[in-house]
Amino acid sequence: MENILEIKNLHTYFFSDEAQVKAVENLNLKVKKGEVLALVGESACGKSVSAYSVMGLIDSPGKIVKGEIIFKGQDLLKLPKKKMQAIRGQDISLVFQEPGSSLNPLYTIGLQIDEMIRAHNKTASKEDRGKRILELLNKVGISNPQSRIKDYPYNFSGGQAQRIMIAMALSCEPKLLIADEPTTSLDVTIQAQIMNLFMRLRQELDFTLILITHNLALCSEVADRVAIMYAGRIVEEALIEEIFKNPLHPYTKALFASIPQAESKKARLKVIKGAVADPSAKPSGCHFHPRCPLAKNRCKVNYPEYREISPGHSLSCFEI
Amino acid sequence: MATYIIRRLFFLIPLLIIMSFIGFLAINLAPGNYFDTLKQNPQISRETISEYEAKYHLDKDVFTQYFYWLVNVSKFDFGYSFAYKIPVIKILKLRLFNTFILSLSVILFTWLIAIPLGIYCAVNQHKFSDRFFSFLSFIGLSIPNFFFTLLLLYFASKTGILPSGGMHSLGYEDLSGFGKFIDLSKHLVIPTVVIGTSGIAGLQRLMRGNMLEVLRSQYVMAARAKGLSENRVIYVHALRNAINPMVTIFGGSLSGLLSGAALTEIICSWPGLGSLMLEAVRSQDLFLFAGDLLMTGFLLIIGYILADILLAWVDPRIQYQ
Amino acid sequence: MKKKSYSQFAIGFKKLRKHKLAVFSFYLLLLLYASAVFAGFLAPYHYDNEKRSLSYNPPTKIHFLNEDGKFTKPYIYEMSYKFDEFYNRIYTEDKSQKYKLNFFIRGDKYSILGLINSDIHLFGVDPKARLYLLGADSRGRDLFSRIVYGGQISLSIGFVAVFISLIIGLFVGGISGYFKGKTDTILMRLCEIIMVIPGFYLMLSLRSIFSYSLNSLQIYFVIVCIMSFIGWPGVARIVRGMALSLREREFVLAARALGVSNLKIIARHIIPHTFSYIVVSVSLAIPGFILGESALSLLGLGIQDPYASWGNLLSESMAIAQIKFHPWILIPGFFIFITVMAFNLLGDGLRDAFDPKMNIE
Repeated sequence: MENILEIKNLHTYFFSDEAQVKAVENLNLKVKKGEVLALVGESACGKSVSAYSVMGLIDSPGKIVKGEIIFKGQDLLKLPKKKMQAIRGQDISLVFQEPGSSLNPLYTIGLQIDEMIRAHNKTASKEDRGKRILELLNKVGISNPQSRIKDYPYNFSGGQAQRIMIAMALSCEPKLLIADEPTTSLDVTIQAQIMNLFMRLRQELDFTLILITHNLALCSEVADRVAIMYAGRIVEEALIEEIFKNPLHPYTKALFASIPQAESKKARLKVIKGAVADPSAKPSGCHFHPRCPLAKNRCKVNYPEYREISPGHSLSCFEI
Repeated sequence: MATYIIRRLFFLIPLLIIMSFIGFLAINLAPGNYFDTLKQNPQISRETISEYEAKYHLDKDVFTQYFYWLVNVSKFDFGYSFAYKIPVIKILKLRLFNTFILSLSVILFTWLIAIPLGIYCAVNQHKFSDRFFSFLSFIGLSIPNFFFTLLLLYFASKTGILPSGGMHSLGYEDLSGFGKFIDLSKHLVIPTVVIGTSGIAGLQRLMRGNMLEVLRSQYVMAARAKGLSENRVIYVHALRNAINPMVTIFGGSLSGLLSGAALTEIICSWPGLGSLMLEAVRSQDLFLFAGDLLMTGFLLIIGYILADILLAWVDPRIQYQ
Repeated sequence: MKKKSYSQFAIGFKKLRKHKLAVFSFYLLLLLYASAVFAGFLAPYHYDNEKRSLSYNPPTKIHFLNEDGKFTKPYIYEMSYKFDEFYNRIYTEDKSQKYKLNFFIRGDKYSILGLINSDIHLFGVDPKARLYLLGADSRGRDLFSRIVYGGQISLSIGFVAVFISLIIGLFVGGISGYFKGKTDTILMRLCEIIMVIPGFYLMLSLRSIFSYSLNSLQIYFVIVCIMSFIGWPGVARIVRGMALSLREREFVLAARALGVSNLKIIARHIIPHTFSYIVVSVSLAIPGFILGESALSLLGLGIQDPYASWGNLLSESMAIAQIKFHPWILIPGFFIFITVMAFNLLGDGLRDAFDPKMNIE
């Protein structure tokens, strides 16, 4: 199947007086048209930075040092600012982690959706845009949208705000939607509602979804494919059934072991020993080696090559 | 909104009372009996003194004096100036107006320069122009008002471009309306620039800080992610959020503004409430003293209420709090 | 991986050293304070040593070259004057006699901190001529000497006043934040009221309580009182905020559970934690006190002639015509300016170094 997005050899660093933080290092990822790809990893592993890199939202002190991001046959990193601006929101949309702080507190939600439509469709009349806003709000399940258009963000709960953010992200019918931990800051019951909403909208509107999350259980329900990230790199990538049946990378295994299971009789939850690698001082060689049960000497020296183990299943580890 | 302002008045009215009471307290605490000194003053007639003694109970304790003064103030009788020998209200009216004109001019000058400058520096953070203006700000913050005034007056007297002090030129009364305006504006330049400079320096730094903070916020990133133009992101989304806290600053800065204005008024011989205060203190003129403080408090309160209304207007969240 | 751990202060000082301007300001202030302490030695004349015939003598030119253009030991000429049509004195050098600039020369008697009594000055000229490095005032007194002596008052008053307002502020703020409730409300309302009243008006009101005919020591004391009265609420409010958050911290709760008395908790556990704040706020508050003293003295309500403070030295400039003809009488203002700027820069550096939360880029 055709790739909608291809990230090649992406390096995104952050610079400060004291240190250079390699937030994303040598990231390679192909996203197929129409699929749901889950990007999974612990916090601060570079998931969000990858998303921002794709959106062209990396700003000083951050910088994309190297790499290519191919979307619709063109390298987004080489596009002039104006062109990239047109692609943002129009072709690729982003839904943020905290809906509460993603909406500008001083403008009505109607205005905030409207300005986005207007930015990408300059010919749409005021009436058309108004209709479109109502239609969108209806679609994401905001009840009585007519009366809520003139409301300010503080009038909405977290779940409602996220629905509005989704409505906004989909307002220009993007081909690719990146959802950055869209449910993390919400209540568990609301989380399920929002995920259901994503799935429903995907069937209606037919977009490709990159779901960034640290929650493996969530992926099992919605994702087609999973890419596991650790310390700024992808360590394993496979179809969802494959990764659940046959996780290979020690980090992936550890992640699965740390999912609480209701039917499990073991009282204790397994945790991964050690702490997440400090992005400003990553361990040498394979960044996971200090926490890895299989680590050998060579793991401390060289970074293992990323290779395909079986069709569609790749990983980077010497010991597998 | 209305309840909000009424709540604020509960704080502001006592302020007014305390400020004017300070006048009475200070005169009464000062060494020597105020009333006795008055009696010994050959320039003031016995009758006048007896009249005010009866009307304001000047022989009683400070609280009684103050109470009767308040009662009379409520009838717009502010008492009599023993130094000027006219009713205090006649002096106050003029002085209040003059200080108001000066304050207004300073506020306009300060805000119209500081806000755009702060935005400019934030958007061009770490570039040469940002560093240059930050440096200028520092000088502006550090240069003492009175010294800056003297420097400018020296400059004015050397070059003759601007009048060196005062509020009107000779022959002001004969000028046309527009001529009067020009003359007044010329006299406003030095005090306005002096008082405004430290204000600009401070506000510019604050505005720059707010703007930088807002530019890093998630909703600004979200606005970029929506594909809005950079101008819209900065001037529509970031700007309003950065200006909001400045409105609160506006109320808080008024006290400092009036304080700085007072000293500059004295040095520039601007006939306002500040230079009047010095005269009242020097001549121990009780009613002038208290009246001056009351008027200053009044200006402050007007400013505070204005700031509150402004805040409610720019921030939709206020009404619900 | 083990990182070497530093104390909060060690980190702060390390950061501070990066602020070149702050470090420079620190040394500049050190120099100014040292010159105030050693004023008697540094100033060629006593602050009240006048020579009325040399009223408004302009700054003396120091010559380094002989008539034939060769380098020689620095010397000056005596000044003589004629009146112009406005009865202003026009000074010219009287070239008949050279006076060498001497170092470690005997002159007016002085005492340094009451410990060292001497009459040796760093530099000066033969008493027949007069050296006016920065010109003379209306009574022919050396402005440079008066500025150096004036620093004793102008520079010390800031420190003393800040110290007193800190003590009051720490005490009231600590009590307010620790006891909360009604005590807190009343104390904070009081602070708010004092802070809202325009400082200049409050200062004049307070000054009017005291007599105008006081001796210089009494006036010094009065000014300190006025400045501290205006200054303490600002400190109190911030200390209160810190105390409010500190009182919920474990070590305070633990101390209370152990039955330590309230006052002891405030003194031992709350005030020490506000220390880094104190360092920063002291350096940022001092300029305000210096300016307050200068303003009062400038208006003739503070330090009185013949004593010198930078503010009352400037009061001669209040007559604009005088500045026009004798611009050097503005020089004391530059000293105030430079001192205030140095404190601001130092305070800014300290704030960056010790309290990143207070920092606004």
